Amino acid sequence: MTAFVTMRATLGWRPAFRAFVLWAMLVGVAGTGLMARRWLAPFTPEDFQSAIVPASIAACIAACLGAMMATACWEVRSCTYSWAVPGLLRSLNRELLVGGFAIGVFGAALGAAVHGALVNASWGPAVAAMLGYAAGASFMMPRGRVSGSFALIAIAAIFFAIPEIVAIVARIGPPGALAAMGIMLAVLRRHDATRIGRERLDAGASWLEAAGPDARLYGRKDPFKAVASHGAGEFQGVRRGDLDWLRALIHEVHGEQRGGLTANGARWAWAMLVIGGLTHAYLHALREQLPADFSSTFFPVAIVMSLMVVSAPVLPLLGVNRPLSRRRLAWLLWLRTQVEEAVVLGAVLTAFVAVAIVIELFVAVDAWAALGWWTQTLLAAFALLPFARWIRLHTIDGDPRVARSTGSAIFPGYIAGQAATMCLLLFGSWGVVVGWHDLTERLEAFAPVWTFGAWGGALLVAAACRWWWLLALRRFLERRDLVAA
Amino acid sequence: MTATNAISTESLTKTFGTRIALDGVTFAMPRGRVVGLVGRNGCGKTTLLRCLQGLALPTSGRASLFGVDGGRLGDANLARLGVVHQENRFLPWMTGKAHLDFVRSFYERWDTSRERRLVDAFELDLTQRIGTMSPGSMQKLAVITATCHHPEVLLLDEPASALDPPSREALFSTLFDLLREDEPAILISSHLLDDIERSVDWILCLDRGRVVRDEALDSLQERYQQWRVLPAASERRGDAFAKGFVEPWIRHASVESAGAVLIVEDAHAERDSFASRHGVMVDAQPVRLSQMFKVWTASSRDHAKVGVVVNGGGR
Repeated sequence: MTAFVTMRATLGWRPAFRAFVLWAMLVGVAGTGLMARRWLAPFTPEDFQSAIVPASIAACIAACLGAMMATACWEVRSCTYSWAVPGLLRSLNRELLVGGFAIGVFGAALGAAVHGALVNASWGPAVAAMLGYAAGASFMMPRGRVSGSFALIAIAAIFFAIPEIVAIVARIGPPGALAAMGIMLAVLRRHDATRIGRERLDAGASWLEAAGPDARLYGRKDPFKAVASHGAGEFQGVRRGDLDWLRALIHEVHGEQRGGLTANGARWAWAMLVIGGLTHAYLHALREQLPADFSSTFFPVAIVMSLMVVSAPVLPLLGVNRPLSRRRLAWLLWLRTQVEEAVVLGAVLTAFVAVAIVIELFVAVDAWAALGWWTQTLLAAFALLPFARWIRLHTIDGDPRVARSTGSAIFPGYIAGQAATMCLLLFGSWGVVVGWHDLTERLEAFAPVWTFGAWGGALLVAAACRWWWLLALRRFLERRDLVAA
Repeated sequence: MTATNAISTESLTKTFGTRIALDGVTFAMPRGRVVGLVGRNGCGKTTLLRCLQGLALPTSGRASLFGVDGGRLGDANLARLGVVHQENRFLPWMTGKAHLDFVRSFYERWDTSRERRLVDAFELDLTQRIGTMSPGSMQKLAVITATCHHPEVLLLDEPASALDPPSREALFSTLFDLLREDEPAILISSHLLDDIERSVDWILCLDRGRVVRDEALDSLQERYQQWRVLPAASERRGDAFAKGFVEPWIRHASVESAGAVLIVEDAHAERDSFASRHGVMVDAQPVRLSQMFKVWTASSRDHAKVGVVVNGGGR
């Protein structure tokens, strides 16, 4: 036992950031699974309180722990020396197993604490924990993108079936826990470090590396590279016009993804629907303790956050041998961000319309009224995007340590920058919309004709923000310390 | 092949799709031998080393360390093996010291005094995080990781490619120390032929996946010679002059302003008769490994180039 995984899981910023992302993802999956289950076959509040909640909590913690430990294992396996160090890979296996047993004991203890004694029903959280641990470890133990997706589906299925799991375990007791332990051992055996090491290296490693844990979490690498040229591939001459260079810059950032910028826009729209929908549902579950407009704001903000996370940093473009002045590069980068944001805006609005049509068809709700609200908040977030980009520019892209490192999330500035950006978009767009409504109401009372004028004023402000963003980019590119040596 | 060889391969073939990386490679080396694995880019050096460690499995044939197939090496045999990869990947968040502490815990025979000696020799700052280390520092750390447990077999894939001259010096003196103390079998793959020439006692040369030389360096240096050939009559110069040399033991001929330079194999006894037959003066000199390497690897690629290779060097 090296205690390596434990050490890794508690050291540095990157594991903390990873844990946060994992936890958010798992809570989302758990919530979706349970909500879907409740909609299909409602369970009683008593069952929910006494059995389902403890088992869900145990499964959530276990899945997060399993994913963290599997990621730490994978990191060691990816090192060139790991295969030749005697006993290292087996010790990783042992640590993974010990983690599974420990989380099982934790689940049993939680069940015993809820029921006051170790009775049949108190094994429910232990079973859920061991299954969750196995699924979490499986999700972050890369064996290809497809099996990772299966693991995610398995996690959702566990939460969906938790009422059944706890009911069965309540009847049979310890044999249920033994069966769960067997499943867990079988799954972990499938991800045996020594086996994966062999397969990984013999396969040439590249595709598995691309489908590695961080790719699962942050989606930065795509093993199925199908380059979208954005016209860059067909360009045969010397690049002269801005359009030529703009194509090249867009290709540089989005060409790696299948479908390029268009596909990225669709991804962001999809992420908005999922994240925004979940958040909205949670806030609704909180009995609308927060203002309704606040919860609605999450929809556009979610996609904007996605944009901020996945949009390419500016810095790698610096120091690259291009026959471009910094002033022109700033202009081109500005154009690129405008194009990206326009694509996002279009994709999100399209998604809104699609959702509204579905809601109108199947639910007796005036979705078009909600759509108007969403559109306003989206436009507010769109107006604020230059500020968000500016924060990112100076806290993330402008930090030479971050820019020169492939593992940018290990730097505190990265997390701080993302957090600041999210806060700005989250609260800023909400504030803008609320403030805007107050303002228009006052203006309408004063003189209806001002309403249109105020819209025009808002557009002017948005345009000014964008112009200011261009100036900020120019100032940024003048920084000598960011030019690659 | 016998089980006493520390490293051995038998008809080792490895293919990646339709591309043949290794084609029936057979060789063996006992402990105490330092073998330079040389060849042009893509000739299969790294694949051979990976097959030996079990990082790649042979398509056919065998690759063994200590008589055990690479893919079946257990802990006991891995503890006798040291490896330095061409590109070393460590955990970037660890410091050098944390890394060595971590790796040390897996080896019973870890020699901390050797570790300290190497750290000093390489002038390595162990308090530095690996993620911020230069490629050269990471290479040094890889060498320390691979050598402090007294390995009986040491596989080095371009170990000096990222090192500055003093560090290269330290690396090779480390290897000599290792030889004196442990007598391991050392297989070094490198393009730095001058470094290889002064460090190894055996040459294994691959060309397009095949072994074209497997021989003691001393023997090669004795068998090969460089002849500087000067015409007795001043009018006989140029390409025509060199093209007249058609003896089968001439491996390479190039024209110089004053005459020609020939690389010859097993031709010591032919020198006087050659001189009298062609009416030339011959000045015989030792051959560097880099010159022999050109002959071995250029034979089939460059035979169309007039005057470069006369009779081929590959076997």
